[in-house]
Amino acid sequence: MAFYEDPLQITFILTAIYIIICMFMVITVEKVMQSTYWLIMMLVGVAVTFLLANSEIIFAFQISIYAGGIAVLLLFAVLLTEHDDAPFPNTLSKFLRATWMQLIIFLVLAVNMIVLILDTVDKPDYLREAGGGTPNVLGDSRIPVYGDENVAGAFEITENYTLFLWDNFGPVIPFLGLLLLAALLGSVKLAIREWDIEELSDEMKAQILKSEAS
Amino acid sequence: MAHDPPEPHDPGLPFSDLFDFITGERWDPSSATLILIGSFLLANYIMINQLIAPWVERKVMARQQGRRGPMYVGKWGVLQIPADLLKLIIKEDLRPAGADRVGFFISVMIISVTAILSFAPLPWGSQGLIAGNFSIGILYIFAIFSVFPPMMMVGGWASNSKYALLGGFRSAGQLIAYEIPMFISVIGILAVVGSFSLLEITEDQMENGWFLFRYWGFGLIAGVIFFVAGYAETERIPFDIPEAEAELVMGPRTEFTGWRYGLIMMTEYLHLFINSLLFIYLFLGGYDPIPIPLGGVEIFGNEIISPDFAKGFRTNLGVQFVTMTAKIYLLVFVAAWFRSALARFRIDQLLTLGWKIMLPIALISTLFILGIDPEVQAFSRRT
Repeated sequence: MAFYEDPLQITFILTAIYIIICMFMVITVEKVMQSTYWLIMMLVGVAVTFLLANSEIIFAFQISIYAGGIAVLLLFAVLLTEHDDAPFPNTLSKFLRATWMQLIIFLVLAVNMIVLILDTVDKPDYLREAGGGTPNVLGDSRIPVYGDENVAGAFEITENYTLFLWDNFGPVIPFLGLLLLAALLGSVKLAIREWDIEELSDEMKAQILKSEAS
Repeated sequence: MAHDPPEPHDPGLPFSDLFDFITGERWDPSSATLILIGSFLLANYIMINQLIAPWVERKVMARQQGRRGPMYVGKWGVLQIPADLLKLIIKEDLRPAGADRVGFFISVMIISVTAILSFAPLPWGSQGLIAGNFSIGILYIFAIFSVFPPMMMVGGWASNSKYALLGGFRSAGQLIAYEIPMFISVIGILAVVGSFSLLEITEDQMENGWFLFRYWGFGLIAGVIFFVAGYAETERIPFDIPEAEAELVMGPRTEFTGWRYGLIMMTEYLHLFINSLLFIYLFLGGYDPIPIPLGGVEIFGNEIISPDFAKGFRTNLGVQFVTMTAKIYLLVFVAAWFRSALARFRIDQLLTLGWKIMLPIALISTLFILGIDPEVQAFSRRT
């Protein structure tokens, strides 16, 4: 069955487009607070993909921990600290100058990841597991989300999902970790700011002058 | 020739048994049709009731304060709330200058949509009267509910008003402080039943009695903590600190007018419903009309109520539906009573109550429930 005949696949593609739009908004909007709520929307979208993959438990934890708990933490941090709005460099040349190293790392990792994914989805094992025919990015769509009487079943589905991901996309996962590290370093570099000594309080000024003198 | 018994319906498919029950014939439409019909019926039932509940609340409060309450629109003022809603919908849509356009819109939409989504796994009777029988049941409701605090903060910030922003902070702090004792107080019950499904939790209570009256009073303690924490989650008097009128006008809701305010008010009553319903399913036996496991009644050897009649009464769909509605309105009455009788807490008192008093008591009651329950003991001996 082609992907456009399967409602599940269409829903997945729509969700994926939604997630990409939200991610784009996160890094391009003007205010940090706006980035935060776009990030929350993105995390909800990710939760929906878990639901589509029949992993209800991961869905519940994704929503309650990431879209709920971590989001509140981020919002408190953003609202209770002083920060510049417009953290995103406003011209392309500035952006490239600030992030050229991260961009290179990102491109290398992204190419690597795409090659690995394309390599995996061509394997006969993967095609068999995904139900033959078209590669099914959502795992086994024959397991219904509805009508799962026993809770053990839900855990089983989650376990299967994890095994499925780990078996088929195992090599990709360390690269994802590296990608996250690169993103973290990039954001630290973007957020770091050179302090002007005139802006500081007298106490701190005295302390800095003392440490410089020593 | 004897007929073969019909194949049972898929237990997860909502409403299939109900339609068999009503029509007397087997009806096998596609699962998508059943889910659509079920969701439509339940959503409408809830929407109509959330228009009646504020009227009941206002009437009860008025009686307790020696007033008459809404009187003029419709018989006994029944149509007052729909009239208010209509007024709100046709009012001019205002957005404060400097408000964040997207945040102002999505906060209201997500808050109201999540409130409606929370009703999906709630069963209204044992015969498939449920919008979606998720295996994660109550976990799903808690997950959906946890999107509420960040969205209140976003709404408060996006309004570009100090009252709204401070209210948003208070709201998020309060919701988090009470979500934790609320969840811990039910862990014992979830472990005893061994399921997150509200359908199975209710079936367990039909067999063994309501959780409120079990475990030598610890069920009662857990129930009271759950009810108070759930009530605090609804942000109503005496827990209405985020919107404390004298200090913060209307808190995070200050700048919302017209249809946005209508949606926010609807969400408030839907939250009252969700928390009441969760309390009913977890502690008051759900759709079970009798609090104890009753086979039949005999007095001096004479059978007053036969076991068959008692079983039929408990499993009758009509009785179960009426029981649910009656229990909800009992809790709406209690909410109105609290609102007219109690004074508001201070923010420090509220957080102290949540973190220092209710959380430890919830932990203790959960540990005792787990210690007392014979099935959990047998399980721990096996392992």
